Amino acid sequence: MNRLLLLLCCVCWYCLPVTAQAQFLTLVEESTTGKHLDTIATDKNAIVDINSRIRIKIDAAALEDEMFRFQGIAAQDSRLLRLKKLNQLLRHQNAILEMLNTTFSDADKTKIALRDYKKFATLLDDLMEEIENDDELIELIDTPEMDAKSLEFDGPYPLFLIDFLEQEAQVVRESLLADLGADGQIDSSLIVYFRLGAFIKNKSGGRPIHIENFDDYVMDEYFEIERFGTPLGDDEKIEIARNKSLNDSIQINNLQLGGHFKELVRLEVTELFPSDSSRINLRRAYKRALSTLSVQRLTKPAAQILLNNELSLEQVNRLYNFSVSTYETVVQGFPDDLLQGNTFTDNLDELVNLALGSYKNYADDVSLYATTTNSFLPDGNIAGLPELTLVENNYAGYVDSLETDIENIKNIFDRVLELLQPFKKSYLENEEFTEQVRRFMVGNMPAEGFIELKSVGERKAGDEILIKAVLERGASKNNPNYESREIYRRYVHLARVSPYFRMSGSLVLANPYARAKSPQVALANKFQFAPTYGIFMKWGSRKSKFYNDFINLGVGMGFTSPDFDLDGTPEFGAGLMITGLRDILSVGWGWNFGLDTPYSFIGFNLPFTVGALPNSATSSNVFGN
Amino acid sequence: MAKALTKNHFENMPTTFPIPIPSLTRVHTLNGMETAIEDFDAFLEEHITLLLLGRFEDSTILLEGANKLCTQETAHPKQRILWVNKLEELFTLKTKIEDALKEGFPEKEITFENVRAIAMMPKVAYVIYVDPSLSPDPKDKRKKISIFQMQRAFNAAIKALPPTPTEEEI
Repeated sequence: MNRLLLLLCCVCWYCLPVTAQAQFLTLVEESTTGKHLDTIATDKNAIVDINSRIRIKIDAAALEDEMFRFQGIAAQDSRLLRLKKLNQLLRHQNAILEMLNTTFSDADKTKIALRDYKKFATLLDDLMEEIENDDELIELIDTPEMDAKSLEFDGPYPLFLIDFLEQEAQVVRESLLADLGADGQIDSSLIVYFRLGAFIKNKSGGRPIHIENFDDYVMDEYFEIERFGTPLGDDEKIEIARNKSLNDSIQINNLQLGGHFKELVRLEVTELFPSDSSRINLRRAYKRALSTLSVQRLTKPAAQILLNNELSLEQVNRLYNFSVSTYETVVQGFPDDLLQGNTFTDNLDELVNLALGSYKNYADDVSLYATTTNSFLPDGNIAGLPELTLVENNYAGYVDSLETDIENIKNIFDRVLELLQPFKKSYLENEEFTEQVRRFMVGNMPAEGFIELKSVGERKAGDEILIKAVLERGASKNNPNYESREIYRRYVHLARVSPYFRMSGSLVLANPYARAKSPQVALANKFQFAPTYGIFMKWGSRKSKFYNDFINLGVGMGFTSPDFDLDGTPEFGAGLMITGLRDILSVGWGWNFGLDTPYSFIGFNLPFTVGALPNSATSSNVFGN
Repeated sequence: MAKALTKNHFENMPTTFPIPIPSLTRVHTLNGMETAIEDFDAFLEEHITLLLLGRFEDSTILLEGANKLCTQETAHPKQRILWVNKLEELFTLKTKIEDALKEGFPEKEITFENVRAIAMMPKVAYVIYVDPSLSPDPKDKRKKISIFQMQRAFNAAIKALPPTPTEEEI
């Protein structure tokens, strides 16, 4: 009956749409200067500045509840309800602790304003009122025994209360985990883990990025997008082109590369194991010794040593097969497994330890036989010892060569990983978490993580950060009960929101509209093509992706060299300009300092260089009348 | 207007009232019946006071706890305990305290004899009872003297403090 209830509970829980479930994570954008700090609304586009920091706040109360439910604890379980209540109370703790660690950490109390005391009193009283309204809790806290304990507590009373609530919550957690038989020391299929990871994605693929407190990735190169950007130099253009072609070729050749590697390994694998010949030598020495020693009565105790160790010698065959299959498993998983950090080093080391253990057992048996036996040959020598020693020597040779083989395999992995390192960035991840993304059980997850965008390496406006959280039942996919459920998924768009400066050259169509007052203007047509160099300020939006991707305004100054008098010598003009549509279109007003005449202009950032403009002598190439 | 305080104000504050236990630096008592009303008014004017009335069980632990609430890092520097434990002083202050209770909680009928502690700033902000079950307000059912309740009392008093004009001084 209970099982049926549990099943029904699980089915109902699964049927809940993700959107209807509690919000486990809150994203907050914070500028590194601290000027901007704002929660990213859940129902709108998530757009952040490309140089900012994304804080990810975890709602431990909602998450723990979800994790226990995923573990199969019924929602109405009294302990789960209790834990939920305690977690709700502990939601107050962050603000209280923050004030304790900041406002009240200074010994000089004159620096603390009355509003801070009032704020703290309000925060604390909200918590205490909730405690007072909980009959069960207040019975535990508001007692003479607890009063006495609070005096022994090394810290202020508010901290004593929080400490008490945390202890209570931990007791409930442990009780729930104890029921599930999950003590955290083993990979029980009932343990549910929380994992949080992030990927940066763009046209050339994606890669995992570091979330502080939640994974073991090292921070990438520190790289701030300049707010005063000069046009790209030739070297930079060459570098960009090189990177692009490299990325493209990697994408195209990724499969081919994998295929070639596998083929190479297949060729090498047959020659890779010198231990195979030493294995044959060992088998041969073993069989020869056994047949020799089994004949005579005197040498039978020595033969028994061989028989006793037959099982471990048999492992030699299995070790060889196992090492080959392990190696081939890695090859099959190439390049995903290697890129995800699975090098199978532990498996290989285990193999060596197994072989060493078996050898040591045999060597110990031979040594014991040599010191304790009563079987002596007529010449006084120990019966069968030379044969046993020969086998031992062969065994040692086998173990040595096996160690060498394993070392070679590991070296190959390391070399391949080294070769793959430059490819890793452009390798399109399939959004699977690697082993470097940590697993957290209930009660021990950090309250917050953050992504320092300046330290995620190469990025550009328009890239997206995918933040993803999952619950996993069991730590290994090999676990038959392994199950993964995505509980959070959100794309955050990177944009250049903070104002920045940009310089660019373009062509404008200048119109010296006050021709009546400027007789020197000799244009027959209304507009004249003129090169312009603009310096303008631009900014992005946290609300509109459309604005960032298309409208993208800029305001600044434009410096033009028109030739309104058609004398072959360009004049100098300067004025205000507004750009839009990603700087493709610009309009503005300027003053021709050579002819003392105003002009308006409209420009197009056309894909050919300013240097290739027709000169004024051919300026009949104009638009309009 | 609240009086601006200097850093050393509290260290150098004149001890108008005796301190019953030397280690309890924030727990004060009155100087006798003759000057009780004047001293009481002056004390309330100067401090955020938790007024303790009469003698009670576990007073050592509770007074120690009350003192800690006034010395912990989150305490307002003006927090003090005034322990009126002599019968004659209680009689002298009875009317004054009853008036203050009426002013603070006009909707409640609070019996002086059932009051164990009052948070004052100098208006009444929070009442702790000898026997909370005698209070007609069901919200008061837990308001019996304890460190928990004394912390709540101080919270209420601080929350009720009028803002200072500059908000820079304490």
